[in-house]
Amino acid sequence: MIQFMLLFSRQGKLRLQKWFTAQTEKSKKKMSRELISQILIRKPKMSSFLEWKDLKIVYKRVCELDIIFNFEKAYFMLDELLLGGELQETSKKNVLKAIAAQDLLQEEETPQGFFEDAGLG
Amino acid sequence: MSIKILTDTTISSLSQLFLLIPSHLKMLGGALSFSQLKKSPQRPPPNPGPPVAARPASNYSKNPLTNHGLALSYTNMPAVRGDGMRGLAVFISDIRNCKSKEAEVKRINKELANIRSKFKGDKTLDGYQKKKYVCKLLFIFLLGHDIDFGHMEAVNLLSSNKYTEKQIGYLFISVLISQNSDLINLINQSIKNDLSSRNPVHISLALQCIANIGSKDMAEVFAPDIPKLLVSGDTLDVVKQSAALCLLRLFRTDPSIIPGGEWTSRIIHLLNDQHMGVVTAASSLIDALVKKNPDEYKGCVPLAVSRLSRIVTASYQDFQDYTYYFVPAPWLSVKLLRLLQNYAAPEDPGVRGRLNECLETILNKAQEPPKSKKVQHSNAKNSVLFEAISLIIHNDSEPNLLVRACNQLGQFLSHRETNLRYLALESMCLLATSEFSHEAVKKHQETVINALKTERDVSVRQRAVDLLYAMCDRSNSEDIVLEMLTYLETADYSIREEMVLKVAILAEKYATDYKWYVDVILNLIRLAGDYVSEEVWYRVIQIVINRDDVQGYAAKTVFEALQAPACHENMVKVGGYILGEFGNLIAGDQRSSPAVQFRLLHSKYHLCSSSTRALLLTTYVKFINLFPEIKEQIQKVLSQDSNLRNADAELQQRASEYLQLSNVTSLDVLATVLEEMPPFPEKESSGLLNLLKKKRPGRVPENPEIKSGEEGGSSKPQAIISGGIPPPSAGNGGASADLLGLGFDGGNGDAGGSSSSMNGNGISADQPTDNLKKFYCKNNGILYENEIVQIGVKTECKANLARLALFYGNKTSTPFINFQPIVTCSPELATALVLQVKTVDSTVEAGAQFQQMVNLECVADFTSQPDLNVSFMNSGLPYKVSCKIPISINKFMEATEMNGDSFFSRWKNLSMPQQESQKIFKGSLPMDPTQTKTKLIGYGFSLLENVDPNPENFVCAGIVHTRSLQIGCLLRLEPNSQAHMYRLTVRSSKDSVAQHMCEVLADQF
Repeated sequence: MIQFMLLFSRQGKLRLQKWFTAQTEKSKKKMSRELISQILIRKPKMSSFLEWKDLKIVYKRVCELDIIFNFEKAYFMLDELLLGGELQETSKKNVLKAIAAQDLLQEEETPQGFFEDAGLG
Repeated sequence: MSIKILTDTTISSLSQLFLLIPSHLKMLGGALSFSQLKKSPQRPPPNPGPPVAARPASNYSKNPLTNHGLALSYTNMPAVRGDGMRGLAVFISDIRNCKSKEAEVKRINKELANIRSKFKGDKTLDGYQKKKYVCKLLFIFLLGHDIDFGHMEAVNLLSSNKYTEKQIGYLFISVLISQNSDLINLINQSIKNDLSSRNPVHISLALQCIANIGSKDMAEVFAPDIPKLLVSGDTLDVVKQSAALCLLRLFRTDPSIIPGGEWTSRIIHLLNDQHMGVVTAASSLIDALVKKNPDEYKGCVPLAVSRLSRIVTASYQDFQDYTYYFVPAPWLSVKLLRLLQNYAAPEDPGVRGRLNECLETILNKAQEPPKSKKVQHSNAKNSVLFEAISLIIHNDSEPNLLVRACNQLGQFLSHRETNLRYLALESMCLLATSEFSHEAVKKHQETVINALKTERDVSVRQRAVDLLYAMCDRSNSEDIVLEMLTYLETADYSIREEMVLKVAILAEKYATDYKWYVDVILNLIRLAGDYVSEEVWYRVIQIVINRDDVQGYAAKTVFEALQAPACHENMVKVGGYILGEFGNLIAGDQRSSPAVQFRLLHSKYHLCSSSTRALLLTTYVKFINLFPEIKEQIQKVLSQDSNLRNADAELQQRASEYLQLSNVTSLDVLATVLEEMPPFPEKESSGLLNLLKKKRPGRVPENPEIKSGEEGGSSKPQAIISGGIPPPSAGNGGASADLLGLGFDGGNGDAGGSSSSMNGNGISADQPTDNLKKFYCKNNGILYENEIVQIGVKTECKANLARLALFYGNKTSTPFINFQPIVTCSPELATALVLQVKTVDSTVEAGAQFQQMVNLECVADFTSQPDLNVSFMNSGLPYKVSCKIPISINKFMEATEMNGDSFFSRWKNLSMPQQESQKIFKGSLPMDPTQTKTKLIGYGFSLLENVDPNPENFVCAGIVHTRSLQIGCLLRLEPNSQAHMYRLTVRSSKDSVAQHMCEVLADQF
C-alpha cells in the first residue's frame, strides 16, 4: 500500500500531504523535511525511485500546480482517487464525474451575493 | 516546479505507483482550473495555468482583514464560481504575498484572533461561516502551525444537511482529530447517521472519513455495517468502492473484524463485478485478506485469472473509461497480477493454461510497436509487463516464460530510460534466484558491471550491486567480488556498509582458496575501513584460526598491510590478533623478525582507541610466549605508566596481569596459558547475512545459495555436519563481545584446564601417557603423549551433538611426513554414533601443532569408543600411535536439577531389576568428597544436595540425549570411609546405559 503522498514546491514548501497510516505530527514533519531535501538534490535525469529507510520513494517532477487555492478540493479529489493507501478509482471520467457532482451541490447550496455585499467574504 | 512523492513498502507495487503519477496530477490540475473543467469534464487541458483573479481592487481593500498595508498582488487570486469561500481565497492570497516568515506569522495570528472571537462571540454563526472559518483553520494547520480550537465547530458541521459544510467538517476532523479526542463519540455518532443516510454522497463521505482515520474504536463501531454496504445489491458502485477500501483500512487496524462464512465467497465474487472501479477497489481488499488466510480465499484465483484474461485479450476500445493511453485497465491488471502472487501456480490445468496465455500475451505485446509516443503509454504498458514478470518469477514453473522474461529484462537493461533500467535490474534480481533462469541472468554480467561503473543515479547503482550479489556463484565470484571492491572505492557513503557486508559474505561463501578470502577482507578494510563492522573482522579471524592452511599467509599479509604509514584501526586489530597467534610463522624471515613485528604493531599503539590497545596488549603477552627473546622489550612496554596506570581500568588490568603472568610463570605454564586459540565453532556467515537484513529490512536480495540459518553449510568443502553445531556456550559463539576470547575468562580458560592436567600427570618423556580413563570426567586435556607426539583433546557438547578438536603436536625438530590420523568405529558403534572427521595436511612441521575437528552425533546409546590410529614418518622412521577417541555416552548427558521428592519418585519409577545396576568396590584413590563431587559433575551429572538422608552419600541426576530418545539417569554413591569401600547404584530408563555408567564410574574412585 501507499504509505503517504506529498506534494511540494522546488523551494521545499509542502503543498499537499496525505498520510495513509497513523503518524504523529512530529514524525510527519521530520519525514517530510528529510525527504524533501533528499529529493531536491537529485538531478533531473535520475530515476524516479529513491530507497529511503525501509520505504521506497517514488517521485516525479511536474510543472507548476497551483493547488494552494482550493486546497480543500485537492483533498476531496484525492479521496476519490486513493483511499486507505490504495487506488479506488482509476477512471478519469468517473473521478471527474464525482467531483462535478460535488461542485453542483456546492452551487445549489450557496447563497449568492450576500457575503460579498457585506464585504466579509 | 513541484515534486510529488508516493511511498510504498512493497517493492512489487512500484510499477503501479509509477504509473499512477501522471494521470493523477492531471486530475489535480483539472480540479484547480475549475471552470475549464466543467466545460469539458473528460479532457482537462494539459497545462492548467493559474487562473487570473477577476476581482476589482477597490472591493478588496474593503476587507478589514487584509487591510494591513502590504503591497498586494491579485494575479494569483482564483476565479471563483458559486461561493468558493471568497474570504478564504483572500486570506490565502494574503499569506502568499507575505514577504517574510514574520509577516506570515503576524497575518496568521491576526486571523486566528479573528476566528476565535467569531467562535466565542454572541452572534450565532451560520453553517457557511462556520465552514469558512474551519477551512481557514485547516489551511493554517497545513501551513505547519498548531491549531488548538475549532474542533467543536468542525464536529457541528458534520451534522449539517448541506453537503459542502459536511464535507469541510469531515476534512477537518480527518486531518486534525486526535484519536483519543473527547469528541470521538460525537464524531462516531455523526458518521453512524451518515452511513445510514439515504443520500449516497453522505454515505461516501462517512466511509472516506473512516478510511482516513481508521482508529481502533472505529473498527469496533463500524465493522458490522460496512460489509453489508459492500455486497448489498442496493449500494451504488461508487459507495461500494469506498466500502471495500474502508473495510481494508479497518482490517489493517484490527484483523478480527472480517466476517467469515458466506461473506468470503461474496467478497471474492466482487472480482466478477460489472463495474471495473468496484473490481479495482475490491482486489486490494481481497489481496490483504488472502495474505491473512490464503486457504479460505483461494477461490479468488480462477476469478482473478479470468478477469485478467478478459482485460489482456481485450482491445483498448473495449474499456473506454478504464483504458489509459491505449492500455486497457493497467492498474487493475497490476492488482490482479499481484493478487495471484499470493499463491503457487494454479494446479487446475485449465486455469493454469489460461494464466500462461495471459502472461504470453503480455510478453508479446511488449514487442509490439508502441501505440503512442507518450510516456504515459509506455509507463502503463511496462507496469503491466513488470508485474507479469514478477508473477512468472514467483510461479517459477514455466522455463519458457522465465527465459522470455529474462530476455525482455535484458533489453531494458540498456534502455535509455533510467526508470526502466532501474526496474529491470530489480526484477532480474528476483530472476537470478530461480534455477531455470540463473544461467540466463548471468549472461548479462557485463552489462550489470557496466551499470555499476557508469550509472549516475545511486538508486540504480544500488540495484546493480544487488543483482551482482544475487547472480554470484562459484563460477563468477572472483570477477564479481573484484568489481564490487573496485566500486567500493567510489561508492556512495550511504551504501558502503551494506556493500562491505555483501562482499564479505560472497568472498567467504565462494572462496576455494582462503588466501583469496583473506586478501578480499583486508582490501575491504583498506578501502572502506570505517564501514567494516566488527562482525566482518571477527569473521576473518575466526576463519584464519580455523584453517591452518591460511595462517602463514594471513600473518604475512597483515604484516605487509601494517607497513602502510596510515592504516585503518580495524587493520591494526586484525593484524594484532593474527600476529599474536601466528606471528611465529613468519618470524624466520629477518624482515619480519619478532622484534620487527613488535615494533611495527607498537608504532600504531598510541594512535588507537582503548579497545584496540587492549587487544594489542594481549598480542604482546602472546608474543612473550612466542618469542622469548623480546620478552624484556615487551615487559618494558607493559610496565610503562601509560599502561600500568592507565585511567582505563581494562588497560590497567591487562597490563598489570600480563606483566605479572610473564614474571612469575615458568615457560611451560606460559605456553599453555597463551596457547594458540582453539578453533571457533564452524558456521556459515549467517551472522553477516542477518546484519545485512537488518540494514535493509525487507529488501535484501537473495543469493540462491546463501541462506541464513540452518539451511547453510551443505556445499562447503570440508565443512562440518550440515546444519552445523550450535555454539556450545554463550562465551564462545556468535558475535558476542567476547567472541575472540580476549577477556580473561575467554578462550584461554580452556587451555588453562589442560595445563593443570598436564602438570598433574607428571608426564615423563619415555613412558607414553594415555589418559583415556580421565576423559570420562573431563572434556579437555592431553589424551596421549610420548617423546615424539602429543595429542590433546577439547570437547564441546550440546544435546546429542558434540565437537571434538584433536590437537597434534610435533615435539621433534624434524617434520612429520605422511601424517595420517584415521578415526574408525566398529560397525556396531557406527550405527549409534555418527562421525564426521575433517581431513588434515599430511605434513606437521617441526615443533608445530595443529588441530583436527571431529563432529559427532549421538544416534543411540553406545558403550565402546572410536579408534584413533595415527601413522606418520619422522626422521625416516615410521611411527604408529593407537588410542581411543574419548567420547562416551555421558558426554551427551545434561545435568538435571530436581528436589528430593521428585528424585525419589523417579527413583521408584525405575524399579525394574534390569533398570538398576549396582557395584560395591574398593576405592583406589584417597577418599576425598571434593574430588568425588568434581568427578560426578565432570561426568555430566548434577549433584543433588540435601536429598539423601545421609550427608556422606551422593545423589545425582541427568538426562542423556540421543537423536530420538532422552534417557533419564539417576545415581547414588555411598562411601564407607572406614572400609574404604563404595556402593554405587545407577538407575536408568535404558538398562544398557545404567550398566555402562556403573562400570565406568566404579573405575573412577
